[in-house]
Amino acid sequence: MLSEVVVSTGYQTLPKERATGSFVQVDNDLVDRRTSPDVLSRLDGVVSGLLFNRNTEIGQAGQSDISIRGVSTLFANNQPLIVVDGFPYNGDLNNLNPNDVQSITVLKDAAAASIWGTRSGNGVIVITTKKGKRNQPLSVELNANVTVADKPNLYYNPNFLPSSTFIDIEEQLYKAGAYNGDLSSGYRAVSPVVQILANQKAGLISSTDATSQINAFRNSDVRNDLSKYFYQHAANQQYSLGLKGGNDQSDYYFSLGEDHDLASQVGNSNNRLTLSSYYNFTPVKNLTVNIGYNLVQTNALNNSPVASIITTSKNAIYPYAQLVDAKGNGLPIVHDYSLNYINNTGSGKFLDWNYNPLQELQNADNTTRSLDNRLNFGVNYKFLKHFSVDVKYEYEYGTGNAENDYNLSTYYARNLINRYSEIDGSGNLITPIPVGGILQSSENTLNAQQGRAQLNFNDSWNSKNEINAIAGYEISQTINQSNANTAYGFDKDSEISNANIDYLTNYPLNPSGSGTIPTSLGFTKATNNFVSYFSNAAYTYDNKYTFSLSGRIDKSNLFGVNTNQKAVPLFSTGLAWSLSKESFYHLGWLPELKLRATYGYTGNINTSATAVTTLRQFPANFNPYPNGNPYDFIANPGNPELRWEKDRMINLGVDYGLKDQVLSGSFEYYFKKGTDLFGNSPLAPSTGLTTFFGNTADIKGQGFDLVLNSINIHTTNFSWTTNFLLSHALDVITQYNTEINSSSFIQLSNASTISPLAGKALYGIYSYRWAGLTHDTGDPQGYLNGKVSTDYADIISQSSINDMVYNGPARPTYFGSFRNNFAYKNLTLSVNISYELNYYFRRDSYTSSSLPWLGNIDYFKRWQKPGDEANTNVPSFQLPPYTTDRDAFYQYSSVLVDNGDNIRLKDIRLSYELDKSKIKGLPFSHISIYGYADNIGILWRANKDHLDPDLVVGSSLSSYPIPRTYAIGVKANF
Amino acid sequence: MKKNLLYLVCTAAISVLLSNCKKEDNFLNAKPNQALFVPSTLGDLENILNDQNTFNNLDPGLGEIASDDYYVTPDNLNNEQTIEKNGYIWAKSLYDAGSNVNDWSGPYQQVYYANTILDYLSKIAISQTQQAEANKIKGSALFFRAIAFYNLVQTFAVPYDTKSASTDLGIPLRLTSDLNTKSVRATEAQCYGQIISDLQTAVSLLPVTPSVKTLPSQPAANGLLARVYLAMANFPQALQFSGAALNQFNILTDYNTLTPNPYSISTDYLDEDIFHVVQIPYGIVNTNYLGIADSTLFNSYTNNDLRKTTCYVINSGLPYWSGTYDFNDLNYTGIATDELYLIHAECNARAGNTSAALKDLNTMLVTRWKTGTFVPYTATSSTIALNEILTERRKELLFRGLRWTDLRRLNKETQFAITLKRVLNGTIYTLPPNDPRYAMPIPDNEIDVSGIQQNQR
Repeated sequence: MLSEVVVSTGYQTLPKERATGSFVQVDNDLVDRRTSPDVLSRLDGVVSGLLFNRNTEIGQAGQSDISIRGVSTLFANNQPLIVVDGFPYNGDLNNLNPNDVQSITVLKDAAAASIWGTRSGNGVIVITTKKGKRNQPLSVELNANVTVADKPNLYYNPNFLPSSTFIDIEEQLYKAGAYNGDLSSGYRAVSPVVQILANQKAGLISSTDATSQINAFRNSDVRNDLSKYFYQHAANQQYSLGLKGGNDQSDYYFSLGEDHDLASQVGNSNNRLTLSSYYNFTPVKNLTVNIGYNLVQTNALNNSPVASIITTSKNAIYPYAQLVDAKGNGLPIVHDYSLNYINNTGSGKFLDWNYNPLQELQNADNTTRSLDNRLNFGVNYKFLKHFSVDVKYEYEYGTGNAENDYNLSTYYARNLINRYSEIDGSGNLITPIPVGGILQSSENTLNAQQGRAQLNFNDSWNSKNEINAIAGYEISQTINQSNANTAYGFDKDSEISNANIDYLTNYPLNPSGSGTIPTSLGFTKATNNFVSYFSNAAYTYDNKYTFSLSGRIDKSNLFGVNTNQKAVPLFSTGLAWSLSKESFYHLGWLPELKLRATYGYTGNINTSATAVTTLRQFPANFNPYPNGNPYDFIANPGNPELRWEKDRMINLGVDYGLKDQVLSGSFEYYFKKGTDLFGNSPLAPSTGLTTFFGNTADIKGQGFDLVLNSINIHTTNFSWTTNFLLSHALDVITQYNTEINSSSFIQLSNASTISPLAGKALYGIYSYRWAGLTHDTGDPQGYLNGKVSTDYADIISQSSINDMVYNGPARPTYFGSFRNNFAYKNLTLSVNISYELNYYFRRDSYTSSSLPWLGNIDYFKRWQKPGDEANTNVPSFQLPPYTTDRDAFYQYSSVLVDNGDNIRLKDIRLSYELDKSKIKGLPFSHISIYGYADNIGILWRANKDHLDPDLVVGSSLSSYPIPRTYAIGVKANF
Repeated sequence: MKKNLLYLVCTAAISVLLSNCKKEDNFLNAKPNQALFVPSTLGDLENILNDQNTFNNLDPGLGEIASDDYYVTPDNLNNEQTIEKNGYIWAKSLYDAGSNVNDWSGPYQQVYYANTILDYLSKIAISQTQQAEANKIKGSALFFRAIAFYNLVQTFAVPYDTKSASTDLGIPLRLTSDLNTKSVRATEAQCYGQIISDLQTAVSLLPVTPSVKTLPSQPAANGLLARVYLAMANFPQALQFSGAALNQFNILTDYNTLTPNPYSISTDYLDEDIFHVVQIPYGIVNTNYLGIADSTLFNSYTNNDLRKTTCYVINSGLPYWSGTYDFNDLNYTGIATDELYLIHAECNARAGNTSAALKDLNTMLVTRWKTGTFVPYTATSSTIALNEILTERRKELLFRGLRWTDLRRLNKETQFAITLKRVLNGTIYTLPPNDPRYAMPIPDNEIDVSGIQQNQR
């Protein structure tokens, strides 16, 4: 089984048998096992050492946040390099159609990845697309599937407080005078209940009316309206058609793909059209020429207003808000300003100032479009038996275009126009912003060229010696440009806007302040140039011993570094020994055994750091005062010492296969050491800067990847196989020049933010030591100088690094999956269970000063009377004036840190296969009908609060666990 | 055969590569980000000086918060930042733990920018025709560095005292843009010495009239020297430099010509504005926002005094200051002619020149009264004149970043020393004269990294 696998580094393909480095090959069956519109998620749960981080900001935003064997950088790019058909991929990864993918190779150690030089530090994912084959008749592949998701579960969020509780708290706070400032301001938003209470106090309504109005709110739950009108079952439809074939002179591949994606938020959707073509032919002997062209077009709507109706500030949505009336019409809710203010400003001449979420959804017109073209050209010429030369070129041109067309019925347009409007002395309405639509548009373009010349040498002699060597030169340029603009008085039908806008005058604003008319006008251009020299050679003796050597020099236009400093050779070397092929090897039960060891360096860069002081120019109108000249801002202090980040990795591995492959797999142990890592060192503010970014940090890490593939039962009609993956990865800071104070560590630490502390994990969770609640008042207690204390200000300001609790890593350090595959005749069933272990997360609780807008069900468990402290750790409720330090202490105390360990039933796939070779007379050569369910549920979790540890809840309502999805599909070959 | 061909291929490849080296260098010199560039010309340095967000927008406001020209209601105070809540009651510690404090880092950002300009200026070859431009750049950078040091000393070091200036701790004097230079607190004498020498050099290099009022000029540098000497209670020098500034610029704005709005008295630079700079905004001292003007102070304006109507807005019966010269509605802390006349008047009075002092005062004040209604001040002694001048100084220079320094310096004179008092939710807070809390604590992030000595409070 081992010998069949061919891995690809992007520069060459080699049999896995002769590889010294750490490669994981994902074949076509495994790529197609999951259904998803994107390629990368196909790797989830099937590649050892590769982790999809879900509890990070990027992960929470629904994008893939991948780490391969932990994290090797602090502040430079931490995502793996993605290579498609030999060249780094510059476009949006969501553009790749998974149905065009033949196989994926993941390069995990230095020997595998260092050929990619300074871009290889986070590992490399090499994607190979489908191609035709010589002498193969036309074959057609048709794939269609539909995925439907559960509606988001808005009721999960523990930070939601029911209306009645919310109102009770509002009433208490009102009595305590907490809203006096808002109410007397005359314009600040107050919730309907607070307004009713104020009206009652002012004698505008009777107390019985007030009570009955308020009570009417008590049973409302805004989540019902939100769920009904603003969320839906997400649905994805995917269709693709592929054609391939070839004769003895040429081969070809052509495919079309179409995706329709409806998001969970009503109003958001995405459509994608992909076209892929590849043609390879031999015009003269020894010469092959290939050309390829790919086109991707996407069209997305982003019209859901939920992001703006769900915020944590006082403009947040209150739980008793009614968004829709009995007839299904949208209702206005309190938003930026108080209702009194918006109803009484502008002498009736202002535009309607109400905020109506359902109307927002109906009126929104926000679109993004993109078009991506990729053209490939390649020539291979074989000469002198052992040599061949490859010349490859790729040109990519992509454009993206976002337009937010705020017509006059949108709140955005009405609010902005009103804010700048004025009633002059004679009672006339003056509108510096023309009464009309507002169009915000932005456009970005990608222009990338990559070229490579490579010499290949393959020779074998005496049937015992074999050499494979490549050397080459590579050049690449990536230019990203963007521009943005805002048009006022825009009318979509006539495409007319008002050019007469005064961007310079400082207008008084309603309700307060002043400002110029906002404009998004701007241009950017970023250029990344690389020149590289690379070489890789492997020598195999007697099919038993393989020695490999790889080196690469990268040069780049990293600002101002002189060429010498830019050229850092990164090299790796490796040894492999097929022990089982030795004549003295006699273990019959273990017919395959191979040992591997590699050593080498990969690198990483951060293009935001510069070697010399750099300025950035801003136009004159960005200055607050009139001044005809543009001005320069110091964008970056000089750093003549700038270098690449270097990551050294040692990898020791064993590949094994028991008799009849009953059990096979690999075990690898690795050691990492990162030096010259970019770090943000704090500077004394008296230098003029508060932080400095340079090569100041070191890390080290180690871990292992275990792969166990077993064939448990194998009979003619039934088989049961298991794939078990277990990986461990832990990276620790070894040097960081400056320490921030303990409170910064504690309050900043999470799975997305690195607050480096020597000796601790890159992503760590820190907290204040917890000492329970006081008996008399239910106040939280911590430790100050070793003694139990409630002096929160001092605990926060005086706790030293040694006083704080390090709970542990914030990202899983042991993870993997357990996949069982059952086949009965034509039916196969595959069940994947994934697990993440040994990490921690900070759960939310309630704090008095955030109530009621940001609550938590812990509020119901709070200390209420002496004695409660025996049963609860939730502090008592405080009325203002708040001790915000008390809240901060509790929020970041060790009692709120939970173990994140969990086991999930990741997915189940059931498929039914029919093949013409077995059933004569089928109209297809092969057909596969499948059903797939994803994100099925958590089987076990360590925390007692029934929380999903990978869900960062944050503000109330906006987060929900990833909905479960169900797919059915068919794949037919003709 | 095989060997030769291999050799041929290799040499061909190498020569192609070598000929490409020159092109490669150009290719690798491409700007990664089109918006970035390295300072290399005088124009680049001049454009740094045009960065108003750095040079004209970052005067410290902590002293204003701690001054006595206003009060706030507990409700409003409660909604504001920690630094305002604590600063208002002269608490021992002022900041959120570990937070960056703009009052400290802002002026040091100005110092860093000024030092960057000075460092790069010395690296640029300057032709004879460029000398005037180079002088202006150097003078401007020195001025900006001096005013930043001055503002820092007023906020974070104890008031100047001739007797102890050579041992009292000032602030770190950073004179290079090199980030590796360690910060050390200089003495008060060194600090004031540096400020004065920077300004004296600047005076000789700057133009008399700036191209825009946000850039320094000779009268601005002279005026700042007068302000610095006044803070040191060096009245003869303050007299000399305020006089020098007034010789170059003595335009006063007639308040009868103003069309004030609720947040500012002007929609453009005032005629008497010499150098325009504003304070970091803090809600409780913002123009016409939360700070209610001290009632005794407000009632001390006579009815013909235009400032009573022009510079204040009455909301719900309470007076709010709105007399800033800044048309972006921030607290103006720049140098204007009115301040120069008041310095000149005070120093004349202190020198016993009663009539000259009163002439200065009346010249300024007549422009503040309704036309034809002003009755010139008289005094039978220089002491009486001094009292009148100091009273009028307070009425004229509110929320200009000057009251805090005035409290600091006047507390050194027993007859002018006062104890400040605030009442909040029934608690009384006081700040007696010469209290160590007249120097604000140095922010934690500075102490943590550079380890300089904290102020005793």
